[in-house]
Amino acid sequence: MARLDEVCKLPGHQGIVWNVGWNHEGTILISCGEDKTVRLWARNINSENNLWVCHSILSDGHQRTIRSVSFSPCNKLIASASFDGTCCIWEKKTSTEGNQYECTATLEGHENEVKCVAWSASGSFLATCSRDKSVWIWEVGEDGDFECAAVLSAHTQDVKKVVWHPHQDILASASYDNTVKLFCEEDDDWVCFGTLKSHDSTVWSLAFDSSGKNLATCSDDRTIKIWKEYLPGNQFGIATSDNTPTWKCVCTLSAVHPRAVYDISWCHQTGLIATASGDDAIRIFRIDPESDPHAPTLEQLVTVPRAHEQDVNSVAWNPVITGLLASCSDDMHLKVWQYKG
Amino acid sequence: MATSSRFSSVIQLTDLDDFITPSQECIKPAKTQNAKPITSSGSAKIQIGEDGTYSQLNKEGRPEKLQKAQITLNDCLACSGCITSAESVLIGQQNHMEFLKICKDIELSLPSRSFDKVVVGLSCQPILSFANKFQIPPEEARAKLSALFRQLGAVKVFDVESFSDLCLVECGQDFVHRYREQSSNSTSIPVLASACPGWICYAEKTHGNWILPHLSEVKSPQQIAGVLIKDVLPNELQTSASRLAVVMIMPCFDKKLEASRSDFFREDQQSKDVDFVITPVEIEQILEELAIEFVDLGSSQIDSLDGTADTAWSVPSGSGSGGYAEHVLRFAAKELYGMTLEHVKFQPLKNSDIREAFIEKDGEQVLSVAIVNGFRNIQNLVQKMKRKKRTYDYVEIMACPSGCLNGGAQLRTESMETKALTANMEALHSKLEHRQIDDVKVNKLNHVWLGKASPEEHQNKLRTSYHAVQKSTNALTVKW
Repeated sequence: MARLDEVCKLPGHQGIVWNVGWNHEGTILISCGEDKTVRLWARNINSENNLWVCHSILSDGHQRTIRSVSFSPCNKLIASASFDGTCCIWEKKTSTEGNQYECTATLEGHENEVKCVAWSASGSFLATCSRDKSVWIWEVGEDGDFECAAVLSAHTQDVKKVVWHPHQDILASASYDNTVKLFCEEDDDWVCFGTLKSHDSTVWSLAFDSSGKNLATCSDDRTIKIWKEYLPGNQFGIATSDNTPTWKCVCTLSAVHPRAVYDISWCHQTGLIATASGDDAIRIFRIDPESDPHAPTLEQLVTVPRAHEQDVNSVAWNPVITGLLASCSDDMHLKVWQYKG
Repeated sequence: MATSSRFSSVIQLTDLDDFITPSQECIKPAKTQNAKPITSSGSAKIQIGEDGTYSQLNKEGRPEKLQKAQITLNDCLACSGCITSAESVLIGQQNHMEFLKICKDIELSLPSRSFDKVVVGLSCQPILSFANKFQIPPEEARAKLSALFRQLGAVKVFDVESFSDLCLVECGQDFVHRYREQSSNSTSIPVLASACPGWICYAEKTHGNWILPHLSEVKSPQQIAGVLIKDVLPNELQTSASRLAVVMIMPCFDKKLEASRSDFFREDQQSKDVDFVITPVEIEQILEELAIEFVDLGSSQIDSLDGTADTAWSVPSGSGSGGYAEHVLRFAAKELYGMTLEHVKFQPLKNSDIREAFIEKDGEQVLSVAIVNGFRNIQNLVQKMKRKKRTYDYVEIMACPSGCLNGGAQLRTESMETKALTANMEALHSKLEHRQIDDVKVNKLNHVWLGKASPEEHQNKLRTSYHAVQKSTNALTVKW
């Protein structure tokens, strides 16, 4: 029987914890929240029970709630997105007193609340999205400057999440307009090349699998969906237009989550899918290996009913340590979990 | 007469939901006059009648009709709650119908009519848009549009470009003045062009006080034309400024926002400088409404301001948005450094919507100007300025990518992608006759119009000012 064991519960944030993530080496856990701080957590090597402890608090960067936080692929920079309409770039400075993060740039431009920030896999781009309905792409300059490369107004409502493709400069965004949109660079501009329609309510989050050919989405409509990329001229008879790939919804999982599903994380090592839900639970799924890849079925492996005392806002698989999952909640806590199959 | 009854872009909203839809979350609090508590608990019962009217039950249980919440375009302009495009969608909806009604009322000589005469100003970008769509020479498109507006009752049809020299001359002088005082005034340079109302709206709402001193205070050709027409023409047309409808044909909805600014309402005449702004997409709707095929329209001349039969059509040299940067560079080079520029070439940078041109003297760069189009490039410019990095001396800024030729209300064809369309429009524009400013003509025009005006009066006619819009953060509008 598969299990999800609680490794530790991490207090510290003074308010809702909105987002969790890892650095790309899997050694630092990062979180942010209502208390306008970003916190970095590392495993305490002196303790026997492998506890994670907070070793840095990044404050004074934002005036309002920090909604999202993301490590750059080089692990040296952190980007945080806030309801104050800005995005801060924090840079690691090593001094005699140890490592410290300093806010070295503030990206302004969104009209209002920034909901999410994400670095591209190449490290060349940063994406942000906002209640102002726009998605922005920032180009990272050699001198540490960030230039706006595109302002994309494809969505008709609040944009909740932006996620980059794991290998290519392709961006996916999820919105209150119930759709997911895909963007890529064309000539000297960014264009929307796909709209994924199937959810009946806000799409809260999304995650690519390790290949980047499958996408999982979760929604306020209490479902999660799996989308598959079909290239032009594919042998499966899936139509494409304008020589761009078609993303087709190949699986919908309903009647499992009794409340909105706020976040979804697709483990690039194990293929496990974790969800964070408004029913305070964390669930783990996998695609049934026996099922047809063009109509896969999701197998529910674990449910932790009272994973947190309130809504679970975010879940993130550790990119290196197999089966290690982080979560955070309205209950002001983070938790670290270990999956055992 | 209240402006709302004769100016169509002040929208009287009949259904609040219609407003909410484009902007999603209007945060403008609606004022309620009837604030008396009705019951002891302070709660009230509201009934919705079959006709959709709202009634509140009074103490005796009898219904009293409630006032509908009204939000005017001016409320929108003074509010930071939603973004420009949504406002434009709104005002675009009713304008041309209102315009047709005005024309009809005049035709029928209705006593209730709001205007007696109509004068039209045709801007070159809409003309090119029709030329491109119907694959006819621009001159022909211009003559057909003139014919259409005359058919609707216009007594005069002008080229907006015949007014733009007044604007350009003023821009050049303003720039040179500010360039000279830059050592004593930190906000004098860069000078940012202010002809694009989309950009102005963004600057006022989003950046406010720190950026406003950088904006050129020179009115756009549209507004200068409006003032001049209302000053000069009523006499000749035997009417008054407030009974003369000035209609501008422009490439985007944002120009409507500009025309409706309270800065452009003349108290002394009780009239707007520009009463209507009509765009190509609306002209198509008008044609449809009247069951007229564009190609079947006859041709008609364009009037000239001094009454002579001046049929040669030319546009200012430079960009398709009005040639601001090029003129300022030429004028300043001459005025400040005694250099006459033969040819001005703008070099594209990262993308074709940011182009720059420099002037060097003795191997040193002395003047730099740029054309910045589209939001992302505006954004980068503004952020650079905010971080106090060196930018340019003068910047021509237009909110639309590719500038006014690609204005939001230009005609699109399904078969043609925006890029190809823009390329076509640029080609058409480049083939028009491009002119340098003709000082003799400008002086003559100035004389006819402003004659013995004092410097202050002169300033009033050609300059305007900007106002920061307070940003409101309302907890109720937050969505997680």
